[in-house]
Amino acid sequence: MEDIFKHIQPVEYYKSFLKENIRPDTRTLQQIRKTTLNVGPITTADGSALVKIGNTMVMCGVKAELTQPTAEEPKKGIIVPNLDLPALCSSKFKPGPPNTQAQVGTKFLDNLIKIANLVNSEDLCIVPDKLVWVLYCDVTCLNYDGCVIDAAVVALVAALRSVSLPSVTLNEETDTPVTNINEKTPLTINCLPVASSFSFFESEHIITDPTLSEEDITSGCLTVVSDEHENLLLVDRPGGVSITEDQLEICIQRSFKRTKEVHKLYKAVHKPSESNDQT
Amino acid sequence: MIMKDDMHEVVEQPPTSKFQCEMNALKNADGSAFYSQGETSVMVAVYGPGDLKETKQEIDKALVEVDFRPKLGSPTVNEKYLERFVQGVCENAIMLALHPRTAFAIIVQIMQDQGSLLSCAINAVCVALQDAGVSMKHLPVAVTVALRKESESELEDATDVLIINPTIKEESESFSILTFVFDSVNKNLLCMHSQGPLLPKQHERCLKAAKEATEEVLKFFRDSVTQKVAAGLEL
Repeated sequence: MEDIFKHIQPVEYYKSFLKENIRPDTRTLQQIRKTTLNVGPITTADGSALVKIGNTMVMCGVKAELTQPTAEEPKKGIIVPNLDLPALCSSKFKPGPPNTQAQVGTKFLDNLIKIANLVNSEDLCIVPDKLVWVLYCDVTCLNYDGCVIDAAVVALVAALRSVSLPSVTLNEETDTPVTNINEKTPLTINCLPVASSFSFFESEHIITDPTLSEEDITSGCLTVVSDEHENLLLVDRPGGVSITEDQLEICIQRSFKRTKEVHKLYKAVHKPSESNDQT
Repeated sequence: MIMKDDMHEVVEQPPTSKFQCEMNALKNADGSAFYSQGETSVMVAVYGPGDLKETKQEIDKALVEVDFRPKLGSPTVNEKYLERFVQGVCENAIMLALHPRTAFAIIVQIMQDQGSLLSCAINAVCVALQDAGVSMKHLPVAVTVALRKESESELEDATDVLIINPTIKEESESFSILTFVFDSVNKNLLCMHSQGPLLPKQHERCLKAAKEATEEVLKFFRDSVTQKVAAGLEL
């Protein structure tokens, strides 16, 4: 009976839970699902990470390649993020070219890398105007259950953090790069951003970390990306119900709290000996 | 418009000619507008409520389809990103429940991008929707704000220069760019986008400044409609 009610009247079903200040998955409105971070699951990639937030699962792999820099920025390496939402991860998506949501997510990650100055692009330079690193960061969603962008940000940062680049020299005579695999230096990451998403149910309830079914019945998502120094890096809210400034303030404060929690994760996985942790 | 921190010392008053708009610029569209904000200009056409494929129809409301066109070539990821904001704002502002099983097509063509593109596009769409006579809950009003570090001063955040509707040059010099969209009735936040490292205190200041700046845009909207109606009476 309850199952039928859930499918026929999803909004009414949800409201009956909200009255008791709880969600259908037994979380409170502020509670965030259990987050798991695993670094280095793909051994053939230069850096990788697997992130789970509840049932949402996102994998990021980083592939480093050598290339010629652009003429405008001869001393800068290139980072190319890509978010893929394949048909595999949810019935929402159909096979084919990337849908709007994937493209928007890709642009979001690209913006974040630039704004947070995640990696000094000069660090990726080997020989100015001749040889630089290009890092292809492919973020793939394996299971879509809301807040993919939150998981994608954690996966991207953790994967980039696990990258070690071999030393490369350019052979002057033959003009070919010589790679020394034995001499690897880890990539320096300047900042550890964390994204937190919120959605709004009937403009009064703030729902932290919405699942897919919650995203469907609420309108508009607010994503706040902040770093450990309580800096707001990106705030993104593409429409939806109007919110008051107080609500925005609450979301910002909660995102700072969330950032601190995820930071413990980042720190825990970065010790070379262990690579799994949960909050 | 450049304001110093204490909000009283206005260095440069914006000329009212900063905003320009021509309603009903395209004769075939149900509503259209050529809107410019400073050097940035955008052309918007609105068609709707119109027919929609049966498989796409929604039984309780109309659909909003936004097409954001760059100056040349086909839309890239950048345009898709901006498109989502315009769509989100329209879905909220238009009374979609009045036209079930139909669609609104909104085409935004960038004519010239010299900074504050997102706020210009949203304001242009708002004017075009008014021109089309679409029923709306409220008018969305967009304002872009940029924060720039004062180069001469050694002091911290108190000396940040706040620029409203920055040009592309001012945007590149700024460390943070924020776009806010407010509704005209309750002045609540409809949509926002900010990028750049920002302390909560600075964020609050930008929000306040943007809210004040909406008055000017709203006044411009009112004047444009008055002009359009007055021109119609003469005929």
